[in-house]
Amino acid sequence: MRSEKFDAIVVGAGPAGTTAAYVMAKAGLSVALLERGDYPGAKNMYGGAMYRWPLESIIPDFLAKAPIERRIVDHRLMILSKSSGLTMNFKDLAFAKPPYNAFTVLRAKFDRWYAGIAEEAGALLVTSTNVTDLIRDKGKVIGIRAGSGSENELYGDVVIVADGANSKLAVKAGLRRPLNPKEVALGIKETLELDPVVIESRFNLGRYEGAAIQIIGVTHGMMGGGFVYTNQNSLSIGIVVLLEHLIRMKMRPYDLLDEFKSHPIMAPMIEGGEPKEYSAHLVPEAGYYGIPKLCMDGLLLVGDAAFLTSSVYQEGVNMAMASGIYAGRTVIEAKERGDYSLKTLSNYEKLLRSSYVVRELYHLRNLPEMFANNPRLFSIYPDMINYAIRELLTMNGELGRYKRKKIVRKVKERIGLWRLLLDLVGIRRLLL
Amino acid sequence: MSIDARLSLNTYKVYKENHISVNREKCATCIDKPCISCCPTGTYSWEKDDLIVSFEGCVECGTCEIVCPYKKILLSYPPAGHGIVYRYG
Repeated sequence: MRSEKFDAIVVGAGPAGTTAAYVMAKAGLSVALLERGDYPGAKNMYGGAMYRWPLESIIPDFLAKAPIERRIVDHRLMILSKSSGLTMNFKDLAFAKPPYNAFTVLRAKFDRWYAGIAEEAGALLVTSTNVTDLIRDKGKVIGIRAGSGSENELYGDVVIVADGANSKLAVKAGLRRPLNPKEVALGIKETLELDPVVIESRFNLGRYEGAAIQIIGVTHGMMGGGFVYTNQNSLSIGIVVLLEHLIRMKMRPYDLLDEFKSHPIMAPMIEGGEPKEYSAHLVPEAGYYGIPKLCMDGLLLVGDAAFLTSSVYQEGVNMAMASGIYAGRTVIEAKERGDYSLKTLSNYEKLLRSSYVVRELYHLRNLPEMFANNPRLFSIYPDMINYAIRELLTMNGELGRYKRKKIVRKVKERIGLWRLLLDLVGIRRLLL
Repeated sequence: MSIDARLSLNTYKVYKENHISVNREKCATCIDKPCISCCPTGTYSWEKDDLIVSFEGCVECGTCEIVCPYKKILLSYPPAGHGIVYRYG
């Protein structure tokens, strides 16, 4: 590696790291963007969609350039029981017109393109590089090590750690402890190739339109759910479950995925899809309380490494990018001041904490714990909702009044009215 | 679909050395062996009283490190762009 010193070293060319690198390089800073994979995106996977904000705030014409699969116009939530399912969908034609709202993208293409934008802005992208450690001087981080020997050392005024959910560098920096199974989920996914015409007719979509589908009731009560996203000529189907629950369940994750794919409601949706790739990744699930300290002398933490994700609307990429913007701006300011100490760098944490990202996570702060400790949400409620609707729609000569009584009796038996009330109050308090 | 068929869909640049190191002192007495049940690529198996690590199909997610109740698994990534190479992601 070269011996020159950079203004900033960014570890990880995912959405957070690349955003920070782009913002800094555009302002004229010297930036090294280091990536473990063969190319940016080679190690990255996610469910399937990202939002327009905040990418458009730094690259207003990204729509014309980015490798976007489909513009999401249809958001669906499916609540499944063993052989039935309630689907709610929200389709908005406003989402089908510029500036659009959310998009499906495939990360191997998107992250690569995005890192290229940072390169065009002047960042030096170095791929196939494993950063193994931080270099410190009197407590201050002054560079990174990518292997042994001085030829594998690289120095910078600030290191931005963007190495993802299982951030080894955040642990090395002492900013967080190794992850525990209560705070992360495992997401696994298959990419199924399918003719675009079939996708469009099956999901009732126009040419570049896409659907984002969340599915609950398919995890045996484990906190988590399934998802389906439509890409241009493929579907992404997968499932996410909290590791703590997966340990207890003793079920192989891919068996769970098989079961999900062969669910009678799901199977026709993916019929004919030809498997092309199988992928897995950790997902931060701890919400606000999982956010570690984000700054130290010479170092900032961004993206998944900083645990900036929200499961309510599947936010991750957008929060990662926002954190990259704030980190980048903070470093630009640090360079202007000539001060990379915690005094200046802690502005990043201030910016982020007063931004949408942390305020939203703060608002939802009790949600991860409620989800993790309430198996009813992921099995009994989906079952009961399906049971109730099935009862009401089945015409067998029974009076509606009697059916409703039967449903209430069943709810009492399986959930209990107090519990139901407490759950409803809990959910209301979380969301309002 | 079997896990092997699934993994055969993927592109790997396999490195000769195992990037996963396991300190096996607790494996024999570990009852649940969550590394085996939780790993999304079926990398771990128990054969003849020993933990077998078939690292070639690993997608480097880190689940094993976290679920090991004794924290005896260390996933250090394959060097120089080796390991999983997602084409879709």
